[in-house]
Amino acid sequence: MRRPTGMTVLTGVVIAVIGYLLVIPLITQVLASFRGPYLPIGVPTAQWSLDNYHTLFSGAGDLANVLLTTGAYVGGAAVISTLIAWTLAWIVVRTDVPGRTVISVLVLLPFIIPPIVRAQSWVLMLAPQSGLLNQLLRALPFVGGESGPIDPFAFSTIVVVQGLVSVTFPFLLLVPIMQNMDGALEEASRTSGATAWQTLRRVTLPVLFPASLAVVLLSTILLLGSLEIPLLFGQQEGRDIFALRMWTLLRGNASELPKYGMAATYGVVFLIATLAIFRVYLWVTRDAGRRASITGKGFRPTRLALGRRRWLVLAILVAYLVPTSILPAVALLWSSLTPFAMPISLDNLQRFARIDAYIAVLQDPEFYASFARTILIAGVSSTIAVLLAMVAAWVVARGRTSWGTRILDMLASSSVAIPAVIVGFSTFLFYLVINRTIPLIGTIWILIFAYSYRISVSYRVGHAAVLQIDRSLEESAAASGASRLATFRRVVIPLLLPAMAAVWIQLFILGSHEFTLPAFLATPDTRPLAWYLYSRINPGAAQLYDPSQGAAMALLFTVVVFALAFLLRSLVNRRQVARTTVGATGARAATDPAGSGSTGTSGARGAGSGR
Amino acid sequence: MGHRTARLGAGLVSTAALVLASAGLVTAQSAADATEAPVCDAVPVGIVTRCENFYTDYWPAVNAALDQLHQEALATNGGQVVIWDWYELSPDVINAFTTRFPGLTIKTQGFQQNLSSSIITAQQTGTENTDYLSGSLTSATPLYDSGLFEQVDWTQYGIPAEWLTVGPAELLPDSLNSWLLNYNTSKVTEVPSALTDFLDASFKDQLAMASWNGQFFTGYGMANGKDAMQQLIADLKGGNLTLTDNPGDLLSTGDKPITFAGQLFNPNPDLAVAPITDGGVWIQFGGVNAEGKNKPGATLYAIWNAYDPDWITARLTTEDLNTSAVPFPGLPTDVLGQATGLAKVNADAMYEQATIGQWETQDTRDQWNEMISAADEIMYQ
Repeated sequence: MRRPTGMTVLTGVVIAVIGYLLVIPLITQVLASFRGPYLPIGVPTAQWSLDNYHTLFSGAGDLANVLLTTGAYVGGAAVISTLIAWTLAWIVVRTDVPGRTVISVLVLLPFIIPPIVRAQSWVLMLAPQSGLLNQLLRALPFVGGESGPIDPFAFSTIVVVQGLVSVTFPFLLLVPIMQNMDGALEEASRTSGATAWQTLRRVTLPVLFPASLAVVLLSTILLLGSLEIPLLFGQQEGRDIFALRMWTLLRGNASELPKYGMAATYGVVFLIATLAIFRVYLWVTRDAGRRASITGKGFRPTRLALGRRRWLVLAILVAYLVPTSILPAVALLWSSLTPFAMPISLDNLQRFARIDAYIAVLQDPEFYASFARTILIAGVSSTIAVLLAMVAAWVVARGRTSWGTRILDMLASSSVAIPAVIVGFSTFLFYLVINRTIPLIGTIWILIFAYSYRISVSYRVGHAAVLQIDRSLEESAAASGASRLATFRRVVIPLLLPAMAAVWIQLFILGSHEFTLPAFLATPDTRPLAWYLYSRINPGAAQLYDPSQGAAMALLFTVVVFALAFLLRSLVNRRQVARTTVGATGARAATDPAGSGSTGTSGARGAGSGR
Repeated sequence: MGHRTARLGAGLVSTAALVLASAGLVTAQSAADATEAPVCDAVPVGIVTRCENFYTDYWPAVNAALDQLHQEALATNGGQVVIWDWYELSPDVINAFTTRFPGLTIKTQGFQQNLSSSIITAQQTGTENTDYLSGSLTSATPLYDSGLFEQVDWTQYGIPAEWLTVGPAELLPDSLNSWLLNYNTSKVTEVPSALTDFLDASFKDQLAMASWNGQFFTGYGMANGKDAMQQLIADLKGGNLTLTDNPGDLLSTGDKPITFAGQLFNPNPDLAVAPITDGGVWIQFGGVNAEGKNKPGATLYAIWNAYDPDWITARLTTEDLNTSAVPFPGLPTDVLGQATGLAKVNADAMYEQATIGQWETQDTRDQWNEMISAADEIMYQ
């Protein structure tokens, strides 16, 4: 029998680890859906049954309502966020509007503020009477009144707010796509006499349509797992939104045991739905490589000269950025300076403003402890995801096609199709039932493992980057007698490293403010800052409730993470890795599951050609 | 023998017991057994018996028992006491406890609605479990029915037997809780006490509550029937009431000037609370987890948290602790009367609610639970 090579062993290990991180918890969830009503294993009440599915499909579970409401919510929010992101990206990348860097930073800002705090600041901004946004709108001559005009708890508001707060992710995906689109097509259109609008409608939009549709689908999947906005805004009109329904089922009634079996059944149904969306996404992007209009020959996208219209465009941008980036930051600052929630006014500022909350936060040991845990969890999990992705990408891109590589490709690609709320719940269930054998409940490891599930973005980046490495480098190594493992270690990893570093930063930022996963898995000894923050702004936490300190923490955290990300990005840039926004490399690859290698993204190409 | 004589005699006996126990000559139990038990200077408060002489006649023996329990807790499980509660204990609470009982370490976690299920899940999956149990008769139903409350005879530590009739004897009553109306006086000068009054159109867009607080209506349901309660909830939801996870901020800003809630946690001086007709009233209990690793530590914490006079005074008068639970109404009037700030706001309303509300009892527990499910059914609909 032939002895397995080091590379084969490594591949096996990677498949096993990804399976452990992703597949086994999901199997536990499927199991729980057939074995209820409480824990699936190890309790006397557990028994095989179709009761949960019967309840769900017989109408008592309101499945149709949940599917329709969730569809309207995530679909609406995904379309809104993508439309805005598309417009912003186009303006920033393809026009000469002034202040493009500042605009990019302001679009990124909400991405860094912890989502639960961001949602809370929207509640305060949209409060019917005292909300700053409603006050500003009432000041308009044609509005008036003493309340509104926006009802923060209407379903349409929930959808729009979710859409507005979710712009950053599609923006990050679309910017590099537009940067890499060859301007020659638009140039040709214009020289043929087409107006800017005609060029946009007949050239730019059709060329970018598949990628834009892919972004909508990806955003839809990610929004399925988003709990913060439904939790704060949607208890009435949004009660049938999937993430909130799961939360409600798991939260339960104090005098009863939670209905894990029913929650698992909802989870299975939505898992199937998201996998179906993911299949559509793969279908939409199946020939992304063929459609790519990018040459990778050092082109520069042409910018449309807006002329005097640029000030109009700038005004439109400001109209978007003020309520989405500036006002939430102002609301947060206001909340941190005042001892309790109160309307924003000069009088209140003079009477109540103080910096006590900042002093208290800086003296709070739990702030530092949870902050350190956040960095640790986000850092280690991002590293695990990136390392796994590098190996998987290389094996799939360079290995012979086999069942093994197909399974690996499927596993590594599909994590993006699993909403965080399902991952959180299934991981929680899995570690509960195996706790007597592997006691990880209550440890920081369970969080690190759960956070690591977001492997697909780094995998797609790695895959695209591997394809851009000239095979001759690896062939030279092999000719020199290096094993595949040695080639991977000494040739491939150094070339992939810069691209993967850019993805690592994006995963790190995502992980640093993750809210949904620790909702299921964290304890006071392991909670990251996002959950400590929640206990500070949640009156249900009783003596920990201190919204001023919560806001102060959120601002301090945002500043530090922003600075950290900026610093890391600068380091990466210094190594000539990324020429675009943080995460741009990952973004481009994420919308190109074919990993065509024709994307011309800078990561591996820049590094490769530089060596 | 009059009350005065009884108190004097009991005080002398308790003092003697304290001296003996302090000297380590007898255990707290034998001290209590060996002497004549004090007689409660009883005043009824709802279903609770107040013992006006608790601190003079009972406390010395209890205090001696605490010292004994402290030593036992130190020698058990490395001195670590795991306390899971509805709310995570704040550093102030932990600091007060460990200052009084040095050497012990507290590991705490708050689970709110999932407290009972988390404890049972821990028991069934072998994960770390709490030493201390808590809850109302309804919220602790799964724990009680699973036999998780250790059969503790609290009278052996000097606790008045009269207090142990509010619920099952192994549950130690430690605080009072009830549903209240929270309102912003800068927007609303007074609020009606009958829930049906809030159906009036004048309350349009004035009311808010969290969807997971359906239990707010169960007192009304116990008084008027399940159907009437469900109809009331449906009518309110369909009209004047807004559901949100955090109604407190909107209450504070005045956007929703009345919220259906419980204890007030917000220091905004414009906020007030008021009792409601037929509002639910219940006692919170502490207890010892039969599966816990440090039972002396749990016993110690339960008694200290419920009755230690210094701790009760701190809770009622220290700003940072003003949001602690309202102390057990069985404690003497003069101790409870010390309350200031938010503690006073909450205590005054809850003690008033205790006289006009619907009490949870062990006999009616299952009816309350059915009512909670019925309320949740409409709240989440």
